[in-house]
Amino acid sequence: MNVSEITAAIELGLIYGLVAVGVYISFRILDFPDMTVDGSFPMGAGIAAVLILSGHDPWLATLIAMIGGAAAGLVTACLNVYGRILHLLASILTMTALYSVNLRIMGAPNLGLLNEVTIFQNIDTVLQSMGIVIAHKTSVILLTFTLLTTVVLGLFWFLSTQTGLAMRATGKNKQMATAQGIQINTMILVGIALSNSLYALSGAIFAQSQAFADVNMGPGTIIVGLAAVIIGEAVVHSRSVLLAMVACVMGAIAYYIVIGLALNSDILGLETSDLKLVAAVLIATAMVLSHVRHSVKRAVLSTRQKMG
Amino acid sequence: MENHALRGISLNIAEGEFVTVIGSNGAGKSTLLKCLTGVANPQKGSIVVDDTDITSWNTPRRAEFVAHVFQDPMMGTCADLSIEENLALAYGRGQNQSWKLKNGFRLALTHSRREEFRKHVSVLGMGLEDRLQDPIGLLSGGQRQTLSLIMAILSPMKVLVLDEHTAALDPKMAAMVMDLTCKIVAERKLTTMMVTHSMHQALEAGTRTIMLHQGKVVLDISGHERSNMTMQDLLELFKKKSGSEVDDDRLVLE
Repeated sequence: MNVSEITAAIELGLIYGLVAVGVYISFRILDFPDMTVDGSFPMGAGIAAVLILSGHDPWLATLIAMIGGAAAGLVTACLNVYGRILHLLASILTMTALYSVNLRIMGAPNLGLLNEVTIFQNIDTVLQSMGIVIAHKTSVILLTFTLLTTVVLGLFWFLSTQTGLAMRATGKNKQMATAQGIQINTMILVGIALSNSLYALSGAIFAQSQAFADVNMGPGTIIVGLAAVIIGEAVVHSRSVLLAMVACVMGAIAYYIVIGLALNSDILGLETSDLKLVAAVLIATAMVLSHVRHSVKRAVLSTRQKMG
Repeated sequence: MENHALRGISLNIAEGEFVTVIGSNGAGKSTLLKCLTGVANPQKGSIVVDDTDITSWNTPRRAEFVAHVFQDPMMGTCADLSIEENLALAYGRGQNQSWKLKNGFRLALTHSRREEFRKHVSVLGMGLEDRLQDPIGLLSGGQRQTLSLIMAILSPMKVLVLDEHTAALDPKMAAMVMDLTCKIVAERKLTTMMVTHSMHQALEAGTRTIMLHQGKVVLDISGHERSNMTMQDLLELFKKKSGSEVDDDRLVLE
């Protein structure tokens, strides 16, 4: 891997870090396996691209993309909560429907954003007016990092509030949560809308940094998010919500670096088309390893107890 | 064949009364509690607390009125959350309602709240006040059950519901939890309903005892009549009222 490949991995890792944090909220905090992400990520990209192409402010476009993602999440949550459809199935239904919805929104299977004013061009212009000139790639990384940090800190604050704590209890012990007066349905609606707004934000940033939106960029997004969460958990083991989210972001970056290494290594002889295979193997390995680690830990603990 | 867990139960419980509920398996004890906590709803009739009809309220809404200590210590607390986080959830019990969200965006754990929790927990004399940040899952069943009791009284409530809350504990721990229960209920003059499998416990604790059989109240004693009653008397009465022998060993043992 050369420098530009590493930079690209970090850039993608930061963008998909938002997906990872969203997956952490739905899978880990709410215990809600949500596949909507494969539809809400391209939805965010599509909404942002269409609005930017029609001359709207890129920040406004990004915000509206997030609202669109939240709406998609609400559909999944409503299907589960009010329609009594299994969470996994509910999210797959929404994801499937979103493919058509995204085509409607975009009006074409893909949209180019070259030479359009994106949030990154905005920042470049602002920096230039201050006399600072940095490479476009650097400004993309810096801005994405700033956005990501804001999101993670905001979520950390939210999860520390009474409502956030109630959301965490909802995913851990529903019976206890209801007995403590928590409306668990509301928590699911809010949480899934929140995580999907993050997927859409990630999609909107992706479209603007890569200068295109494609209706087919969705499938596989959940795999990246899951991989990031699992790799993060394998590396950082903490009960702190903040550290767990930071671990997710680090997991996303690690994911793209490992993928890059695997695809670029001459010894393995892998090609770009092997990407999905490498991704699946990577996740499976991380999951098996974390399981092995748990059993080893348990074995050590029980031996210690036996020895007094 | 349809089997009704409860048939025409009419109970009027005065404020501050500590009712112990006893009965063999399938008598309807659990269903009675479920009707109170909102987990199950009666087909007919109503549940009124303090002149408010709560029959149509769901469990979270009832949490403002009803505090619940479960039989299984794992169920009443959230294993992955820390002691103080569990306490904070209980602290917000009346306010966890979505329509009271204005309180929902305050931090769950502040310095003053931690101090308050520390005070509540130190009463237990288990040294847990120094472990507030530990996940509650690391504690023993007995410790978790005492914390469940503390959680129940952290927020104001109108009825305390205890669902065989000592049944899963070893005898020593069960006695300790029971002592604590009696102390808390007496101190705060709580209106309490405790389901128990032990006849001894049913007579020992509380101010009134009711016995359920096949979904009906077959015995309802309080005051002088109750304080003079021995376990043997209770067994005799059960036989007379229900027309059958006590078939559940757990009722007699202890």
